[in-house]
Amino acid sequence: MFLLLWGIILPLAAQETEPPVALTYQSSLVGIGRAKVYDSYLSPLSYSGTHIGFLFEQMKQTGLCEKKIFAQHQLNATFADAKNPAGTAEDYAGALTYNYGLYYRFPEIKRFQFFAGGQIGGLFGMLYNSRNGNNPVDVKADFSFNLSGIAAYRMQIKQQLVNLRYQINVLVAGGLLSPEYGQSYYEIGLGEGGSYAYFASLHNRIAINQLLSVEFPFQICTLRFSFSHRFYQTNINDLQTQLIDRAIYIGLSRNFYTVRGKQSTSNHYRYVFE
Amino acid sequence: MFLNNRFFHSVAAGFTLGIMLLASSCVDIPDYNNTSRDNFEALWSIMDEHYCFFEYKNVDWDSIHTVYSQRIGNDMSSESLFLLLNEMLQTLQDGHVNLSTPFDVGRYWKWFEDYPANYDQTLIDGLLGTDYRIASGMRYKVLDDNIGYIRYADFSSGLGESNLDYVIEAFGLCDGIIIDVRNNGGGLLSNSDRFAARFFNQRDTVGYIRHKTGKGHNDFSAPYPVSIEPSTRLRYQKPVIVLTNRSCFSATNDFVNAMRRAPTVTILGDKTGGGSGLPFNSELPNGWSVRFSACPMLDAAMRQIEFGIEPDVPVDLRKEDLLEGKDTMIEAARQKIKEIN
Repeated sequence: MFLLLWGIILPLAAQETEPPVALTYQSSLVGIGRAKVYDSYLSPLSYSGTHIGFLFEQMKQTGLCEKKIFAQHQLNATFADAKNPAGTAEDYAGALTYNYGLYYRFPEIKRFQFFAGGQIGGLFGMLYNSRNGNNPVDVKADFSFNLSGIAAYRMQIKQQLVNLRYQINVLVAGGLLSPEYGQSYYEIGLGEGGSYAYFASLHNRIAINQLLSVEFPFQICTLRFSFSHRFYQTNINDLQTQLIDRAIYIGLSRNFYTVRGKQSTSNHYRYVFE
Repeated sequence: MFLNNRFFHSVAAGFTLGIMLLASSCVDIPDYNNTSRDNFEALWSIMDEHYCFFEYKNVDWDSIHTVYSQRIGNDMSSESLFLLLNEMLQTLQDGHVNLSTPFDVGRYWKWFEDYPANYDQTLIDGLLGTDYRIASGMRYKVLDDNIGYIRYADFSSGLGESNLDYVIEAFGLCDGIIIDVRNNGGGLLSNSDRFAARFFNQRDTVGYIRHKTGKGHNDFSAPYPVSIEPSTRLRYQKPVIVLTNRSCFSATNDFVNAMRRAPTVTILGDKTGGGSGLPFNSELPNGWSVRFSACPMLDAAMRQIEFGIEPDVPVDLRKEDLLEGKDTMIEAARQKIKEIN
């Protein structure tokens, strides 16, 4: 066991015959980094600035496929304040992203773990340019099916346990909302008909999120550092968007189980990343 | 072994595919530097891809590029570059086209500078005196001959429903209203629609709006109707005169376009200044801002109103009246209301 157990009192009277208790992994992090914002509806120029974010992850074993399927919730809230190259105008970009994924866990090989699966999720966000009059905002709303993979490796440096993990999500297909090329929000406000929803796939949307994490379990907590790199790019109706951010996140992780009905007497625990 | 070579090859192929997709990125971000040449090219391209009146105004934008590109030098000062770029934009003859820099704002104002002003603020001040009322952006008063007078100078000024309730109620016993929007350079279209809704008794399509659907000069959406819904609050039923001059622009042009279809309204004064293109904003690599017409608005017969709207009753401000402290156009409006009644 290399991760710390939080928030529960473990039964001391162990029964060796009881199956191990499946623990839920949960982590909350905050991050800061750099963002690059380009949206041709707002400006022909690429903006750059500061990115801040909050990341929540939860992952646990399910009863599917002989308990080899794991479910993951990912919630990411981000905000960026970026300036144009001359520093005379600002873009504010905010987004909320949620993904629910199911993963197959392959058998462990020499401390390496691999998970592969898919996610469904969505993004809702907004880009606001402080200088524009009738075209100040570009609303971003999309949903997608993602391919996702996780690789985890645990090691020990002297007396310190260290857990490395890498996750990649690739948005494959879904849909998104977009105004037409030169359509104003005044027209949209009039209730102008037309199609604002578009099928999105790799031909018009490339979005890849990568997360490289390292965790240090200590006596009182598990400290997690992550490097996040998100790439989101769309080209709909000749309106082009490219959002790139790279950030360092720091936070805490824990493993726990929730008691439902009769409490297990087992003192064996199965971690998501073990 | 479960994780055999085939698995790793599949993973490697997946990553390779991902890298190829990124390499063939579908987004082409312009790579501008802050040079005179790149600022010129950026401005020309912004207008080329977004401006909406090339065909209507018969402007050959490619030839404009040829002419002005030759005059761009690498060592131009900011002032010289501004003068040249502004001169290029003047060819569009559009009051909604502005190049904004920290030291000057390029503008095309011939739509009112080349015509009689037909407005004198001292006459308005004399008419209103000191006992007029103010309802947000409106100054209003019942004149001696029982005609209501509203001075609304800026469609950016607040215009709430309760403001309009009070003003219309105050004029309930009047023989008619004069709405003076001379020298009103525009503002919010929502204010224009809200004001006009007080003078319609049934829904009416007063115009249409289109937008660009692509970078081509003629890539436009189908015209979408712009309608005025009658207000569900107080509506005015007696004669209304809207006073106009060449400085009625943009949202004011839109207001006049709507009001001329209202059942009790007469447009009196000079032709409006126009400005029917809903403006968008963009910018140059050096940080200068540019505003331009992006979405053309048409009248109810789908005609362009970019160069203004003719009044029902043309009236100019006469110098003789001016010397006597009279506003010819207001006097004509008062007379018109009496004739209608």
